[in-house]
Amino acid sequence: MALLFLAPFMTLFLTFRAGPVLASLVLSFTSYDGLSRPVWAGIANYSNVLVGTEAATRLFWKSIGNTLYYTACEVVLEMSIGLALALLVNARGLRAKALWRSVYYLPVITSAVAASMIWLWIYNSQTGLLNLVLQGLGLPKQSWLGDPRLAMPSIIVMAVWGGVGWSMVIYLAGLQDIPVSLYEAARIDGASGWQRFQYITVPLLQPVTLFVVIMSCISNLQVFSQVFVMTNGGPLNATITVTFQMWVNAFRFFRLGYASAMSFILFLVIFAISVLNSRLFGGRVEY
Amino acid sequence: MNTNQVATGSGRLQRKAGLQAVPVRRAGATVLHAVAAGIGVVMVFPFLWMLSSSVKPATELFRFPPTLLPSQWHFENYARAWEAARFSRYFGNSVVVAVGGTLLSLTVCSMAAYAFSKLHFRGREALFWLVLGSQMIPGIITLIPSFLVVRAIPLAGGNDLLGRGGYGWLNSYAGLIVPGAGGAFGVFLLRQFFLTVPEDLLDAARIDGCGDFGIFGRIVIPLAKPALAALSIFTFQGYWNDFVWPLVITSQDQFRTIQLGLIVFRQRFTTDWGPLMAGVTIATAPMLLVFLLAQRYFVRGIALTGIKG
Repeated sequence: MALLFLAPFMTLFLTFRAGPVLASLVLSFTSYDGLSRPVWAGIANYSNVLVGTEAATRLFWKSIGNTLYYTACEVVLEMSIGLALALLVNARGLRAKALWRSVYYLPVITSAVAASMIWLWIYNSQTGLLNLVLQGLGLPKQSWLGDPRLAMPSIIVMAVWGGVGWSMVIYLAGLQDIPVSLYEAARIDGASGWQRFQYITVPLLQPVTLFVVIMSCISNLQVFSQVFVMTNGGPLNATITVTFQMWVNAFRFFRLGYASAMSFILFLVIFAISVLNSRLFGGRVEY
Repeated sequence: MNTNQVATGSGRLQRKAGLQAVPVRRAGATVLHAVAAGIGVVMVFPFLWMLSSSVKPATELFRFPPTLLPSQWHFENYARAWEAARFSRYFGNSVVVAVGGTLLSLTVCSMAAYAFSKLHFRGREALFWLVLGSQMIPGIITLIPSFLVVRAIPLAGGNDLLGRGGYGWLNSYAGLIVPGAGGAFGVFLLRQFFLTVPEDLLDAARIDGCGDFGIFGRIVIPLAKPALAALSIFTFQGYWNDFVWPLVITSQDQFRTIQLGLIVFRQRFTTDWGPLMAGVTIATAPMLLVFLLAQRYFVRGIALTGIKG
């Protein structure tokens, strides 16, 4: 009986989740163009990705740097702004909490492509809103997505706009789990607002923070759509990311084994960062 | 100071503190609302700008200083967007894929969740943890093999029995819908909910001669409506907003979804931002509508499971 209920799900799960993870590992040790038979290549793909002499190796390391830069900024900003928004929405004196919560969450439901298109227009170097504002202030116009120094920060700002609503909702749930009595007790002991935040809110939210950081790292380390739509990796490769490189190699150059090696390296990076996060933000919280 | 001491040291005073009314100063409340509104404007402004640009005449898009309201409303941008580059087709494809995918995913996941919560079989816990653990694996790693699997579906798209020779499910609704339907997240969410359905209720039904399919269909599913509502919203969102998978498996215009349509669109209208923003508005509207109608399910569902959009 159980088999009947499980069969459809397990079929999909094994075919499109579990199976592909293993297949990806195997593929990463082969040379495969998608048409002719895959040829065993040993660790050639990994060595080519990591220490090869071709231009692609330099690009890969560039993409690793970009991805880590993007993720670090994203995670720190999503976490801190998300917490600030949660505290704001949770504040006792605030009315229409549900309204504010929904408004801040709105960008999260927008697709990465649609959000990127909107911001592409805002960032437009000739007549975008941002440059019109700069012009109004008498400042020089900027080529937001065309300048290698500005392109990545511009994408980050957009992604933070699109992501803080999520961490806010998670933090809100966490805040509501903290017993009110703790705050009242602290108030009686003469703790200031900042002290209550520092000694009650922050430590008791630690498990939530761990969750936010880990999930945020996993999703941001795979950033693709924003880059694809807004800059296509440019200018001067300032915004290429690991997933973007993987996609280019797999579906433009049909180097499927090589791209699989990239995806496995990314997987290991994500795994390592998750472990590191658990060490940093983990640990038991006692009431 | 540590929280332990705060908690135990003044336990006796808690009740007293609870009775104390906390005076909210009017100035403080005003500042609070001003801050909330200010941030709200920042969050909503890109959407307003999108709407405003979509109805402005072309000449006004570039005017300085910029205005939020157009001098004349030009709705023909929507008509141009809708007719251009098979946009209606992309939109229709997305509806088919998102609705179909949601129905399939809900069916498959709720059945599995029933097995994981209400049926007893060997290795149940181990299997469940395997499924759950797969959520920590970045989705991108399955992209290339999933593409190869979809291409090699036997007897589809000109393939032989061993999945060779043809294109399988590339460029098909099945290829867009089926691979995404077996998410661990859905099983987890529904299982948590099914666990709260009391065993007694199920036993009573069994005594009355109800089989597992009867219990599943007539008792568990109707009781789980809130969880199913939350899951269906997230699943719909996932399918509607997805970009990478449709990008990889469709090459024909006929099967492109709306997110890909936007890209095609951009190539076509390069600097014609009016119709472009109208297109983005059309692509965003269904999700906005779903969100407005079902906000409480959204928030509850995220808090419950932590899904990352």
